[in-house]
Amino acid sequence: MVENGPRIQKSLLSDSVFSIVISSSNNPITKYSVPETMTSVKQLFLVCLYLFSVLLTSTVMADKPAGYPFLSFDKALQQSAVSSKPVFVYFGRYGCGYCDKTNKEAFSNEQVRKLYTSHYILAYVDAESGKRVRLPSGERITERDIGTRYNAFVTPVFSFLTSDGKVINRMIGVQRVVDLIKAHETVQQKIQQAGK
Amino acid sequence: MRTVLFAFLMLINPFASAQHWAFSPAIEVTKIAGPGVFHHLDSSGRRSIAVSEATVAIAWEDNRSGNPAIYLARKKLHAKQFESEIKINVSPEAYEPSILAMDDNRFIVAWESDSKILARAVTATSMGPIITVSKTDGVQVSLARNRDKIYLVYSSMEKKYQQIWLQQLRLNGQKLEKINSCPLEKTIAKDHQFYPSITITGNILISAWEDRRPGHTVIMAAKSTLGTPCSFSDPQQVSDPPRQRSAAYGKGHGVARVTLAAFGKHVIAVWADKRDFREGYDIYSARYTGQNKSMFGANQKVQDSFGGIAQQWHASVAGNRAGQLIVFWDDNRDGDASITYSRPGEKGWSDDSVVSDENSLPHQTHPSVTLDEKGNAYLVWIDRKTKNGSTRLRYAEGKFMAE
Repeated sequence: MVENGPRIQKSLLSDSVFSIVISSSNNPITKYSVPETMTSVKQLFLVCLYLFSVLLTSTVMADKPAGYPFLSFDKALQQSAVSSKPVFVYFGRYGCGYCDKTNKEAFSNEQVRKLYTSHYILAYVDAESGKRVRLPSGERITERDIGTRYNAFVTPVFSFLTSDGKVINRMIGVQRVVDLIKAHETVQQKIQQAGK
Repeated sequence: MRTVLFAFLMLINPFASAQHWAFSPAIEVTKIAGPGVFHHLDSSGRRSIAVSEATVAIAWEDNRSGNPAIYLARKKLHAKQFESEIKINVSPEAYEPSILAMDDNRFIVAWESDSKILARAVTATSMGPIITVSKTDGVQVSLARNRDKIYLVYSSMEKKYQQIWLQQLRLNGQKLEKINSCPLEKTIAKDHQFYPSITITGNILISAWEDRRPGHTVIMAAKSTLGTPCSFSDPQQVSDPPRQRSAAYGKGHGVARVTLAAFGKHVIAVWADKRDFREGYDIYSARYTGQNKSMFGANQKVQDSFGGIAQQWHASVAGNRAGQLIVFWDDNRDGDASITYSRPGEKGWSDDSVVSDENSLPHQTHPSVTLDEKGNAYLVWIDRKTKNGSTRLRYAEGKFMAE
């Protein structure tokens, strides 16, 4: 994020007022006007603005969480068929706020990471992507259209699937550590019951 | 339950059944080919159907041969059924064809193959040579024309990011000749640009696309003139941010798949928009009038308020020089996906109507539409028995009924 991090540009608008433009890359994000007389407040303001802008540009670039070996949807289903582990699908979106929150507050947990990486084949689907994948039926569709099949019309949606694409369980929206652990237990119980 | 609710809402709404296009019974463009064969109408800007004089043509991709390939089917407007389709590509795999009508019952089809954009002309009796359009790689092509000149936009990888490029072509008989090409922006944006659409009004060329440079996806647009097509204006954002901030949005609320159409002297951009994030995507629009400093005006929701209980996908828009305009999408408010449409009126967008097809299969999706100069609509879509079942293409004509 350092390369694309925010920059603050100060310019004098008049004798008593200057403007501050916070930009990321070449794109202005925010523009503020500050009275020149507020010298000490102004410095504090600048620091706050900087911190705010760092948060703004560095936090919400939601993607798959780090430390998880996510595959494409079709590769995950193929691997699931071989390994007999179910698939855990993360339907996310570029810039998705609740995805980022779940990544930070739940997927960063070591217990969650161990449970999910050891019990599931992980798939990440970008709900806006045109990337092509193949369904178990042989149909070629885009990642975006997977959303229409699995009713993932918001992000994030987390679905547990069998290797032939049937839904075992799903969760919608922000998840906490306890939610992910409970969902894992529920899915494992369902699998055990189905196997009996 | 949702079907009952929708039927009740339609009953209490006196305008809900008002239609201005009378649709003919739908006919098959293709039959269901059997298990494992799937048709796709997925061109960038959703341009899969075109009318040239007395001929309507539809371009799609299916995998009947084992590989994805491009096919084109034509029908004389007065004929009752489509002629046998012809295969357009020769390469092993081809995707996402976009079609454009030229004069004299000729069509241009452009598509993606091996990460390049290819194109060829199809006349009433033959096909022209295939040319490679993209300079290096290219995906997601969309087409517009002015007389014998053709303007293609597509997305091409530049260093790390997908960028939008323009290629100008000329149709000479049945041969396509390359004229010039350029990126829409001189400096490379520091994130991806996808799924462009292009249209022409007067001597103004307008392109819109999905743009990720703000850290989320927005719709952006730029314009140039036909005289200097490679002198595009700086891009402007078309999709508005939500009125209220919410942690749910993150950096932005999510938009996708913009499509453009010229109508009268104006242009409309239509796209899927998730600003009401609890209900999934809705269909939104913005107008270019050429009158304001800002290219496109305020965003308007196209679908009616009853659509809020459902998801909308795959918007397609068509207009004509007389100023008529129609927007189609697929909509699951009555349980299964249906082909739904709206038109602009004096008081905003009309209540939504559904294209009724007695012989249709339950899941109807991916509409693509064009209008002729009389306002008549030509519509193609995909239907299937189940969400994951085999597909076929359906076609219907909507006769414009003046108020």
